[in-house]
Amino acid sequence: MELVLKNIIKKYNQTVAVNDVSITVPSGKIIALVGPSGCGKTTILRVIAGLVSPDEGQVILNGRDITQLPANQRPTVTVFQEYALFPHLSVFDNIAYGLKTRHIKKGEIKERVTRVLNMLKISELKDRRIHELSGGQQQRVAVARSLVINPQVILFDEPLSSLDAKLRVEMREEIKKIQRETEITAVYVTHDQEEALAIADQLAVMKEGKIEQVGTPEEVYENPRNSFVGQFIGWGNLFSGEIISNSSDKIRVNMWGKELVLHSNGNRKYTGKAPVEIFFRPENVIPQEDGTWEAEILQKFFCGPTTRYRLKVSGLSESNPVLMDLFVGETGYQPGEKIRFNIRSASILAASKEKVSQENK
Amino acid sequence: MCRKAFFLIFLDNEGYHMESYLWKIKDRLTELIFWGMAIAVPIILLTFVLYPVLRVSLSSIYDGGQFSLKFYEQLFLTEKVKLIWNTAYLSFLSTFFATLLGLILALGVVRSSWPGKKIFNFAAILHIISPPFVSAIVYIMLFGRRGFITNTLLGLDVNFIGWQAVFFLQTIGNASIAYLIIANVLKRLDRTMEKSALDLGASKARVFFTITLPLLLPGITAAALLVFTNILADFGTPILVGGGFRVLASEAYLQVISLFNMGFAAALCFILLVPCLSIIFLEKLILGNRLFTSSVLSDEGSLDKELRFHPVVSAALYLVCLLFSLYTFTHLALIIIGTFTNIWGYDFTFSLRHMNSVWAQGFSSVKNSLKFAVQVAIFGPFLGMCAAYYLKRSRSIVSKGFEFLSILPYAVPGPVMGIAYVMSFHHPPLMLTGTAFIIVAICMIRELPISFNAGKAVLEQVGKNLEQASMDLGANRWDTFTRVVLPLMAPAYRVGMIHAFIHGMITIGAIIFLITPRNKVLTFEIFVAINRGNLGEGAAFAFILIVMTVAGLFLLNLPWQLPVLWKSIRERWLRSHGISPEKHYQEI
Repeated sequence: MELVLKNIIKKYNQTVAVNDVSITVPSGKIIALVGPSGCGKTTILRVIAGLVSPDEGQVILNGRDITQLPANQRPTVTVFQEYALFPHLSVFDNIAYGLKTRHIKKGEIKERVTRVLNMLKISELKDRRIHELSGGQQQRVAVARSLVINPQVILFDEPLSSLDAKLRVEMREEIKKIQRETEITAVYVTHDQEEALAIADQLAVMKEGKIEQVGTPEEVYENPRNSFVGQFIGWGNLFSGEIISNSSDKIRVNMWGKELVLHSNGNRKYTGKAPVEIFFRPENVIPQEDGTWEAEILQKFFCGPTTRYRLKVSGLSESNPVLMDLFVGETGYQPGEKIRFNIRSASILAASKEKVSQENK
Repeated sequence: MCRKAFFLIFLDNEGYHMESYLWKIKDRLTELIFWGMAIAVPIILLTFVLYPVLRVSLSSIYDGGQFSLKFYEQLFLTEKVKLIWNTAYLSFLSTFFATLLGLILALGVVRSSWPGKKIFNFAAILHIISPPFVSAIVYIMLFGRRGFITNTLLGLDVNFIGWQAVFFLQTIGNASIAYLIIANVLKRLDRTMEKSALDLGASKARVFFTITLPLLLPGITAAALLVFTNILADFGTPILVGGGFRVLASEAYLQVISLFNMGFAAALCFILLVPCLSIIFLEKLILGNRLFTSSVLSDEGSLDKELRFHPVVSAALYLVCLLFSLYTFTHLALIIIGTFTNIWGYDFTFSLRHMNSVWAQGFSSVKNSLKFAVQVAIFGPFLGMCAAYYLKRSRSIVSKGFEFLSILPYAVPGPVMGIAYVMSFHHPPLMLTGTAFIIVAICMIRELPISFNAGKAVLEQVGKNLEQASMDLGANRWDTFTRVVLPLMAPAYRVGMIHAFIHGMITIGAIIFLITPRNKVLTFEIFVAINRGNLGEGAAFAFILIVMTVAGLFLLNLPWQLPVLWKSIRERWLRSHGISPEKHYQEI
């Protein structure tokens, strides 16, 4: 079921929660809406669910305009952030709730509930009360309750935010697996960029009610369209530089007094002496004996598979360090050591700060 | 089945559209019910809360249709001004000591390892469900002119009545209310703060005075404010044991009942309303969001739960609790003894004559009391729940106003409300005085704040999320209301119901002005009996009332207790037949 949002606008009093958002979710795919809190992602979810009606725009499901359809008649279902399980009902009755309101026969209800109970591996909990469940179990019940009614679209509203870190990873893998198997179109809202990258087929990064970039997780990670996306998805270094020259395949940039060569990808937008923002990932900082820049290691943080360093580049202040990630197995360094490094790949995000603001207008 | 066949035969391909059409009709209907209720709630609030209160206030400044301050002149410029001073110092004194006693009881029951603390709790609850004037009967039985202690034992011919007696009875009577409120806050107090204070090196006594007491202060304030309103409303105790000592409430009663001087009574009522209404605002101002309680009730570490004071202080506090409990149980015993004693003070032989005369003349009062209490218990909380449901969502000024009206009866003293009703519903088109309806109505309205707040608390806790989830899963408004909202409100309904039942049984202040010979209730009979000097009969009525209240509470609890009981019996049965209950349930 292809889900299309067309020019959705929603205002609360004077504040614009969602500002002209258009998204297409291909049938059977999962799209993650990610952004800082208050960016309007949950409002979009509510609009799709029919719990909030948009001021302008359309929600189109499989070619049918469902904008005016009330929530209880939409083939969509939400997995709420706090689960919103009914405390007075057992696990079984919680899951059966949506079926009962559809006046489905008892035998069928039992069969369908049992099926999702098994799917989420919670059959032994079916007679428990909600308050007798752990957070992870409640999460499973919430997902089961949504799946059982065979929705055409399933909406996840930060479903894992109240679980601990390890459980969060397990659950998101499970959710992704179930979504694959059932092929239900899904919209997944989160403020956790790592979760978004892991779960999504498509990623939409939002800020202040607008969509900043849409693409596969890889595209968004490797080619952030602007500094906000770059900084929000993953970690990044953002520094200013100056264009020296722009040929058909290479852009030469002046960074900290040295020359950095980038692939231009046919981009001729930037010419002569323009100040630009240069963005590069910590893992693209490569220590090399004949490296272009010189730096001192300020701090070291061991994070398991990678080790993060804060570098003070010669000529820059300590309050403006460069982040560098080295993988396990690469040569490590100690604070105080002097190293030389190169930047493997970087992207030019904008011509200058003034231009950034002009672009936004 | 029928439904399904209908769809199969007529709808076929268009089933989807037809079904959504039916959805619409059903939604319309439920919408209509909701609208009906949404209109009824404001109308009831306006008619039975706002109108009477305005009416009584305005009546105090009109004499025969003319604006006049005559009644206030009578009050302030004659010797009647003494009423105000009497009321003021009695209220402050009784409130202070009742709250203090309540605090001591609460600390004793919740935070000590004293033996018999369960009995203290029981004593306090017994006080709350005992009818008004019971303490007055007992007091007269013990310390009256023919009192057991003063006359029979000591041979004195004195009558210990006067303001001291009123003060004593009010303090004892209201301590249990203060106790319940403070104990409730104390139980929910976030103990981690005390623990961290201890951890930081403070002594136990220091922790009590710098942490526990300040944290408890909002609870104590709430208790004191409620007790204060109660005492302002108390007209019975001053009349029965005050001798010549009069306060505003008792004067208002006398002005209405014996002189039918409604204008002056209205002025007295208005003077009583002023401090009571200010209390509502004071409560908001002082308490606001300052009730520091933790949602997690932890009972672990009951060792350091105990508060330790100097042994002498501890002993003194224990003695206070013990005396309070002793006095309470003496009450009950004396009521029973008094019921079956021939003539108290003269002839202490066993006799059934009070019981006989009560059954002969008072049977209709028994029936009425029960009838009214049950009606109030059923419909009162329903009104409160509806009001809570309708007023919680909207943030508009209008609904804020209605919310205020819903809790206003809490601050209007009973007699003031009663007099207001007499004035408001004595003329067409609302000619309701003399009917049973008006008695049930006033009790329902007086109970409204409790069930309203209970309902509101549940709804706030539930939040909008569950309702949204229900709609999202495909339920319509009616299903959502009946399957989610109502079941969740059941505990609040129960609280409201128990309160309303007790209130319906033992109330007097508000309804005494509305009672007609046909609608006499037990509390009224008690009052009349004592006023006639017939202690035995009063005791007999009180005895019946206590028995009925306890029995009624037991019956009201059954719907909640039975399923639990049933389950445990069933499990025992299954076990005795060698079936494990868990397995059995799974098979079902």
